Amino acid sequence: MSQNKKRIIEVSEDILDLVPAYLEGRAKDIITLTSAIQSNDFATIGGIGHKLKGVAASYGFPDLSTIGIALEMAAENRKMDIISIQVKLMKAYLEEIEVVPEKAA
Amino acid sequence: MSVVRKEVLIVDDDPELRAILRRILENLGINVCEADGVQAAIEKYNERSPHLVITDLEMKPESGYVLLVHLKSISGVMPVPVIVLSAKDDQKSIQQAMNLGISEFVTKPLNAAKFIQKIRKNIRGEEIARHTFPAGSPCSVNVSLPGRIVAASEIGFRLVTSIRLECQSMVTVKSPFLDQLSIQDYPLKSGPVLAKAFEHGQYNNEIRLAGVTREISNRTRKLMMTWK
Repeated sequence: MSQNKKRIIEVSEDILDLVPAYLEGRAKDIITLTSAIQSNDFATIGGIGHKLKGVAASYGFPDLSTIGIALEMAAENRKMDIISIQVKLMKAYLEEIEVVPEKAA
Repeated sequence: MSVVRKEVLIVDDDPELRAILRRILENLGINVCEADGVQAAIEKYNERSPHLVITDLEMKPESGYVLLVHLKSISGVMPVPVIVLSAKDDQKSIQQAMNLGISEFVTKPLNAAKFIQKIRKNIRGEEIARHTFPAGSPCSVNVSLPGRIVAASEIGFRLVTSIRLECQSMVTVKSPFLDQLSIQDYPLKSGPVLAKAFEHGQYNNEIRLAGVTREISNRTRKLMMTWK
């Protein structure tokens, strides 16, 4: 049974307004990845992984960047089982996070 | 009074990365222009003459290396500091970019704090860059850079470039304007008054045609009439 416990991610107020659109894009990535898994489209999977690796941490989501690294590598090695696990992890991550403004140091 | 702000050109095919870089730079008080590929970047560079370029390497149809080669070809050295921001982190890629004269190679994912340090270092470095000549050596330097003619008269024209020319120095300008007047090799001199800032680190340089003949004057007048 789901606990609905949110994972709090603190994001700098400077970029807070950019985050909703970014996360919306990642929700679309899940749909694209699911479809790419069904069609064995490793190029699309690798491309999404590459972008996650490069950009997600900049928005305050280093865990997404880590998933991106794993996705890119798994696509390169055509390891669909690993890709499926990473996509599940990504979906769960996106569902459980709650973004809040970073507290002043 | 307006303050001339530094300007940075961001080159990346990922709009989400450009958005966050823009925000970081704007928070530092820096103006930003963007390009989503190499050709757009070259156009933007010629149009804006930015103080710093930040570019990705892995772009399509042309890679960021094409942009680096182009920038270096302008004058033989990088005309402005260039920061490469790339997910590539192998020594070969880094060395290849460093050999082309870039200032920094930053690997993704981006660490905002370190990135800001590098921006500050390179923007400031550009600001205080000076040529110092030892006593007795010839005080001149040859540079080649893009510019645009924004106004003309029978005795000269105004050239906007990213450097301020010394008064009364000899200048060579390649331009369709001079081609149309058939005076490509005519002696040109910067004006008697030091150029004022135009915008974003560009200067409004007066260029005079030395010893204008009546024939050139007539040709210039005719050409200017076609502009109206």
